[in-house]
Formats: sequence, C-alpha cells, structure tokens
Amino acid sequence: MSKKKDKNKTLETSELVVSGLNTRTRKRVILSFPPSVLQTPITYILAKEYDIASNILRAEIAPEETGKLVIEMDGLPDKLEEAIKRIKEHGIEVTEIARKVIFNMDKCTHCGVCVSVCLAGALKLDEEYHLQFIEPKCTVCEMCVPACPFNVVNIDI
Amino acid sequence: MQRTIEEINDKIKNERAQVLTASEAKEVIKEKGSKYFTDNIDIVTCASFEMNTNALLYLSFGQTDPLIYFMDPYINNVPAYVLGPTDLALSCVLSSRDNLEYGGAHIIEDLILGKDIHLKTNGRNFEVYPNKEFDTWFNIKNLNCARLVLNQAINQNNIVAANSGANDINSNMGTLIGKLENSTFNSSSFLNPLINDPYCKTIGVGSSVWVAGGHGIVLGYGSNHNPNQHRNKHSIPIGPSITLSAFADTDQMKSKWVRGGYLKSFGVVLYVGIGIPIPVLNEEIAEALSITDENIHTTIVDFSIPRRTKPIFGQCTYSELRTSTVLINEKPTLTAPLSSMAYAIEICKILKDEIINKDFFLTKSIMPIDMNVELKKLDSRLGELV
Repeated sequence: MSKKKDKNKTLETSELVVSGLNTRTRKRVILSFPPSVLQTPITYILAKEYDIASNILRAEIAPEETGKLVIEMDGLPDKLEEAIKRIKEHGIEVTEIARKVIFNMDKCTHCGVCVSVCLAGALKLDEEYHLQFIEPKCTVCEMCVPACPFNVVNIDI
Repeated sequence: MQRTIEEINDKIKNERAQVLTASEAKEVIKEKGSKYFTDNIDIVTCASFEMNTNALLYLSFGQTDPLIYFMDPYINNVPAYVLGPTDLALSCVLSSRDNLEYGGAHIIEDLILGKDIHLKTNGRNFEVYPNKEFDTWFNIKNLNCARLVLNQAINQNNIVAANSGANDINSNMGTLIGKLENSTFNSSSFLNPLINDPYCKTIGVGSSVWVAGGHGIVLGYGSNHNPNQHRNKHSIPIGPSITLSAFADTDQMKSKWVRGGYLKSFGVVLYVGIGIPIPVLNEEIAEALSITDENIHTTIVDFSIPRRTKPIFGQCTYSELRTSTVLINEKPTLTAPLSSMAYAIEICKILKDEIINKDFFLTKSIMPIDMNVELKKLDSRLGELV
C-alpha cells in the first residue's frame, strides 16, 4: 500500500516544476541505531524506494551495540522528508545537521593549521598556498574550529 | 664575479639594482645557470611567516605625577615584568587572567593596531616614588618606546611532528591525532632566509631585517641555536639548527604581519613576518640560492613520548610534505604546515618593492654569527656532591 502512495506523490511532485521543489537537495543527518535494528539495510531502502543517493560521512557501528551513522542524503525534498519519517518508524533516532562551518577570511593567514586536522580532506592549500574549503567534503566534525589559532573558523547553527 | 654590499647599495640609490624574490630567483637560476645569475642579479629577498614563541615586548612608559616605581603590573590583565621604574617587559606567551585564549601576543597585535590598552599597576614603597597605585589606558602613541625582541626570529629548518600514540596530543605543533593520522611542520622551506644562506655568509650581527613592516636588526644567534646539526649533501640541516635573534621598533609595523594566535590546550603563540634580503656577492652564494624543496630534508619526530630525545621515523623532503601526504612507517599520513607560505611570498614581494623604492638598504654585518656554539641541556643536580 505504502509503495502505491509513494508513486502517486512522485507524480504530484514531478508536476511542480516551477516551484523548484523538484530540484535535488542535500540533507545531512545523524542516525542513531538501537541494537535491534542494526540489520536494517537503510541505504538500500533509501536508494530503492526514495531515489536518494546517500553518502556515508562517518560510521561507528559495532555488532550487538548501538551504532551511529552520519550520512548526506541527496534527493527530492519531499522524498527526503518521507524517508526520514520511514527511518524513524524503524526506531532509529534521526538528528538533522543544520550546522555549517564558516570561515572569516579577513583574519585568515593561510597558515594551514586547520588543514592538518581535516581528515575528511575538505581543507586544502592550493598551488599558491591559499586556503581552500571544499564544502561538499566537509563532515562538520568541527576539529578545525578549536585548531585555528586566529579564530577564523566558526560554526553557523 | 665579486660584489660588495656598498656597490649594491650604490646601485639601489641609482635605481639600477636588480632585485628578485626567492621564488623568482630559483626559476632564473634553473633556466640560465648560476654564472648568469651572479652577473645579473644583486639581491634576492627571502621571508618567513612562522609560528614563534621566545619573544617579548619591551615597553617604556613616561613617569607619572607623583612618581611611581611599578610593582605587579598587568596589561589587559596579562602579567608583565618590571625592569625599571616605568619600564616593563611583556612576554608574548603569557595568557590573560580571565581569558586563556588572549595573551601577550594579542596585546602586541592590538598595540600595533593603535588600540587602547589597559594598564593597572601597584607602586613599590619608596620615599622618592610615593605613587602606590595607578590605573590607565595607553596606546602606541603614549609610549616612549615599544620594542619587539624576537629571540628566535628565524629558524633554519624545523621538524615534522607526528603522534604514534593512541590519544590525540595538543602540542606546540598543533593538534596531533593519534595513530599517525596527521602530522605538522613549521617552516617556510625554500623561502626561508637561512635555507637560502645555510652558513650565514651574508647575514650577521647588525644585518638589517624587515620585521612585520618595520626595520630591525639581527642581534646574533637566538634561542636553541644548534649549528652542529647534521646536514644533508646540499648543506641543509635535517632538523632545527641556526636561529637568529632580532629586534625592531613596533611603531613602523603593520598589524597584518604580527598576529597573536592561540593553539588549543597549548597557549598563546606569536606569528610574525620576517624578511631578509640576501646580497648575491659571488657565485657560491648564488649556488646556495638555487636550493629547492626537493633538496631540503627534515626529520619526522614522534611526539607521543614527551622526552628530550624523541624517537624519529626518518627523513623526508619538503616537496613530499607539500603534497599534503607523507609516508610515516609506511602509512600515508595527512600533513600540513603551521607557517603561512602565502604570507611569506607576499613579504618577499613587499621587501623587493621596498628595496626598489629605496626604502630599504643593505647593512654590512659587524660580526659573523657564532657557529661554534654547542646546544646545552638543562639537567638536575640532584644527587651530585656539593
């Protein structure tokens, strides 16, 4: 039954071309799994039923224990909301990450201290040794925030 | 071909001096050889913008009425040291009493910015200095002198810090993530004046240096001076070696080049931009100037053991480090600098322009830097016979 409803909704959304709702957006969420649902193939469900490309940014899952998964979901806004509802039904706790790292480049000296703690590879020095922030790679791990000697990096909530 | 510093200064006066930045110089030498370079180029500008400690700000105030002899002074709530009735020394690494992330280095930056700074002091109990308490605001214009003394203004090379332990370490080399996840280094490598002149043939006591926009003087060798460090076949030391001490008045400085910083769980550090022009006196100096990152080696040190002698993982070159991945114990490790190359490049250009515009002249050194100094250790005398 639920599948049929989903199909109807897809049709509706595909008609809303002008409103911009059909453009794919990205949403970052933290999924906290209780031990009982560790076997649920979340990313498969997201891809198959909601056409959501999920990019795993961080995962801490140990057998018989609770797990934590940070994923970036790329899909239609409607689908994203439905998917989050569906995940919640499985008993998985969903926390949306609205946080973003922002750089106050006026104060930046391009020293590279933040690059040294960015294991995700979102911070790089370019050929002229200027700091580059590759936002899609950022996992908002916030390591760079206290690392910066000049207080350039802040979290925008 | 031989040249003297006087000849080069005459050329600067007559606007005929050929000046290049260190990065430009390396390309010219590579293309046309050191013979052509010696014949045609007079000066090469080198610079660094590295993380510094070992610095102090010498502040000389005017006298109050009634007279005061400072005691327990605080500047913006950072403790300072009394050196005379109204003279103070402010350490760049001490933190404020109410904010650990603000300290001496930030006061130096604020002073150069022209900001008002708070001074609170008691007075010593002398008959001729009856003032017992004083509280005021001052800025750079109210001071008789504000002099920045950098006892480790320039480091010839530095180490690479990594951490093989299980836990993260907050060190003087930034946050080192455990299990060799990252590593840091603190050197402007091929732009560094002492890498381009590895035996200090053109830099000596009394040489003029560019310090953060002002003009200063080299005082001699600095803290942790270790000229006996092992050198590679290009005569570059493979670890910390020569250091230079310099001082400069703050009134000419620009706040962009003097920055107070705070390293997480470590403390306040000072970032300061230094520029040194190297005169191309002969072909030997030109050959030393041709050094590039591939030939500058450094040592990877394990910071997980907080002892004087730390285990090392071997050597690597700066060209490997600049790719931001380096192999440590066969593990690809993220690596990043702590010193700004972008600012060092900018300083090289500024110094070049100053020389061309006749604002900066070379100075002949009074004395060479002492190269027969042994790095001493501080040991406890417990148990020794008195």
